[in-house]
Amino acid sequence: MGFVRMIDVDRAEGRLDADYRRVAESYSHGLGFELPTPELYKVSSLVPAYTHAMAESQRCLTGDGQHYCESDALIPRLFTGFCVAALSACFH
Amino acid sequence: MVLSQKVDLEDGLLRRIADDPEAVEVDGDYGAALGFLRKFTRRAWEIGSRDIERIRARGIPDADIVDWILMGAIQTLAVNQADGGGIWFPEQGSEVVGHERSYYTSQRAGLTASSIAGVSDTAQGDRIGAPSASAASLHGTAPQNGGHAEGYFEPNRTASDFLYAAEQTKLRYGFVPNLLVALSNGRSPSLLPSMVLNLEILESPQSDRLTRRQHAIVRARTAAASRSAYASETIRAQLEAADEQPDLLLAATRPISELARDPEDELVFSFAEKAARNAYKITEKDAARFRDIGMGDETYLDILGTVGLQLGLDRMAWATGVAPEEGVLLAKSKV
Repeated sequence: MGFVRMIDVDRAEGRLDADYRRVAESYSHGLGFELPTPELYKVSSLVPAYTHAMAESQRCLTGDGQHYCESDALIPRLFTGFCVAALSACFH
Repeated sequence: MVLSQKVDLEDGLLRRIADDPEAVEVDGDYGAALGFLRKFTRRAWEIGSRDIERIRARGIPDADIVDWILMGAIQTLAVNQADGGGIWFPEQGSEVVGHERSYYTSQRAGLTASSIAGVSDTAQGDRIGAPSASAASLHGTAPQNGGHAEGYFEPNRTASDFLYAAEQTKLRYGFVPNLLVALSNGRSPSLLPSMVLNLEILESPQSDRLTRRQHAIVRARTAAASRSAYASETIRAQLEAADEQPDLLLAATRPISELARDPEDELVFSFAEKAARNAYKITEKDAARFRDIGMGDETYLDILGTVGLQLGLDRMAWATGVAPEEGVLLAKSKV
């Protein structure tokens, strides 16, 4: 699956492993059910700086999932993300 | 799936947006957001103070608009990663949006990201779509739609996350970037430190095979696709450091065939062009070309990431109306 080789969760080490874990925990905590690390975060795992950038955005945005659902901004944020993706013809 | 569970929107709105995001008519605040995001995503250079005023007139606070901008930039990178990584949406995703990936090939999908309205890919060739507009922007002589240092939004210089990020950039660059100030009044000031991280990543290639010259030219051509001069001084400094004649315009507007010194350059620059303008057209063959030529997945991903971050930066600059950065966003030790 995917166009490039990706490092899976069980083979990740160091900062990449930490990023994978934090993202999965953040989504799981925010949504209230267990989620694995989304594939999107694995795309750049061979160049982990970009995975880290995305993981940091997620961490900062949700406070590690602590205020994922409480925030008044959640719906507009999801709507914004949806629109930008649709306008880019991307339906990940 | 997540979106359909969480978003309390009128029935079928998301499906209608997915069907035709450019033409669908949406009422209310979501309509205002969609209108703004159309420009943000496809032609950010058209955003002006009147767009912001129109949104404010609806009673939407600046903090929300700034939030759209930050989220839009994050999603720009996510889209780039999804398209470039060949990540397919899960089955339940198609229930939400009602499309398969074949949608990408439909006629209406031809105008996306930074592609130029009315100009076919063939007509663009390996030149940028609108050389004169881009050239003016890259010279730095054209203001970002009349923008100024602080942009359209009143900054919040006391927010703790802003102060932390500002301190980081002062130490690293010797100044606080205009864009950081312009975004300080959003609902998510906690995102500002991660923006500093993105600037840091853009300072140099993140893989072994991508050369500094290639990296600088990828940034230059991406900025040209965005018609943005925001980081032009930085990119010029990167070109100079890579022993390239630091003429940004040449790097950004020369045909790839003239700019490329070897087949690797040719591949790097042409892929960057595709990722910047029409990421949805990326296929598995693009990644395979990097393996075939011996540059590997790492180089492919580095270009993809560089383009995604640069596009996000440029779109945020246009949307906030900040002036191009006069300083160089490179760590002092690299200048």
